[in-house]
Amino acid sequence: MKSAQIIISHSRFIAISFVCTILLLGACTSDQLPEITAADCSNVEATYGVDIKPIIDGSCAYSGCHLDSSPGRFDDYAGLLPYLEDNTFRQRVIIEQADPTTGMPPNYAPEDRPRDLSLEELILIECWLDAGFPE
Amino acid sequence: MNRTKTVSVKTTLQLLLLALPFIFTNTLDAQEYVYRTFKDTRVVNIHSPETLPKGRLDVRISHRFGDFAGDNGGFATFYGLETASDVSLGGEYGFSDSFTAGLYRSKGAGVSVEGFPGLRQLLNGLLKLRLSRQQEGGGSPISATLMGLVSMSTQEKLEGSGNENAIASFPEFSHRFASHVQLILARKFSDGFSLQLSPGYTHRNLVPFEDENGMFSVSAGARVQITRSFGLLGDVVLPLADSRGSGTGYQPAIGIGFEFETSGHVFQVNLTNATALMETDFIPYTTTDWAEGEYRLGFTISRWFNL
Repeated sequence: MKSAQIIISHSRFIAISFVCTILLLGACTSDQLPEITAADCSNVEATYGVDIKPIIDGSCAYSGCHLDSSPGRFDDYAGLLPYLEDNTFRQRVIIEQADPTTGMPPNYAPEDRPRDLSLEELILIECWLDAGFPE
Repeated sequence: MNRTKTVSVKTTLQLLLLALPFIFTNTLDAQEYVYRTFKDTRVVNIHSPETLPKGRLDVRISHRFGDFAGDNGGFATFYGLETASDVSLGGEYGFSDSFTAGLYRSKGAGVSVEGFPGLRQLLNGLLKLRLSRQQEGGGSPISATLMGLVSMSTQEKLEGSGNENAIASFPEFSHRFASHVQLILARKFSDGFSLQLSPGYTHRNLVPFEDENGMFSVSAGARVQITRSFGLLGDVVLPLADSRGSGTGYQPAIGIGFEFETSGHVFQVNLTNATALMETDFIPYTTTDWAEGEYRLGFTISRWFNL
């Protein structure tokens, strides 16, 4: 009887410790990210031919990627257009940019290719998309 | 009124979580136990009450493909088979018949309604503690198990201007963590049918703007045995948070599947709208909708080893 009580007491201790440990680990901090702000496009007039094509040629449209391997052929405007129209391009380049595998360019890109776009490049692309991706 | 009701439900669940260790540990030394309420330690998305026998190692590989249909599915991705949403590899070990601990690596797949990624490149630590086992002939009518999961992102911290809105900006190291605790209450009604209900609580240390760090949830799962080695499974997870209600863009995670059991193996094939595999990921971050064709094929292979 005494050993049964010890087992129950021991089990209670483990169970309570278990709940407290998980809750304490989970309650380290309770923080929020800042509000999302759109890029300031008041002084940006980007076009595909002048501003965007060089970024895409260097970061996306090369052999082994969006030229002859991955979905889409991005070395000209016509090849890119379906992905602009269905919003996939914005989703993968702008919104998911923090994702190491689905954000484009991905972190597994070849070493001699960009694995992240610069802030200036991201602003150019976002403003170009907002303006209706002019050719 | 609704808010009062939500607070009341949350308080009840919280008290239930804390009180049940006291209730169920009183019955641990009884006889006539009911075994194998579920055949595996998981239902589809959620954990079952099962813990591993002492000395048993369970090596598990789980995969969730891309959307079967909808904007990102269909023939273009061969119904999601050419894209992977989440992959998990790891194992768990039975330190006793009542206590299991495990470690998993997962890719991470959940997104906010705006499409921004949640935690990625996760190490997931798992603890399961059996509180009671169902007994025949007047003992405990149900089995109860506590499950705890802590996920840590190992993703490289995103520095610099332009990354302020990314979870991976990790302003503090603790922002890499999220955790989940769940009480699993289950009953095997017959050799052919088992049911479970699970209140749970998920906490993310860093969340998108105006999201909630902590949220309660309730989940349900069922198993129907069809033949000796073949069973059907289903589960649903419903977050109990104002930010996850109808019309917010977030969806409850719903999974259906079947599993084959052979000696030492369980092979499960399923369909689920959840993109992610870990509770810390799919409970707060499921935005894909069955009604839009945004469900996916998935599978889990489990292999037991005696150590």
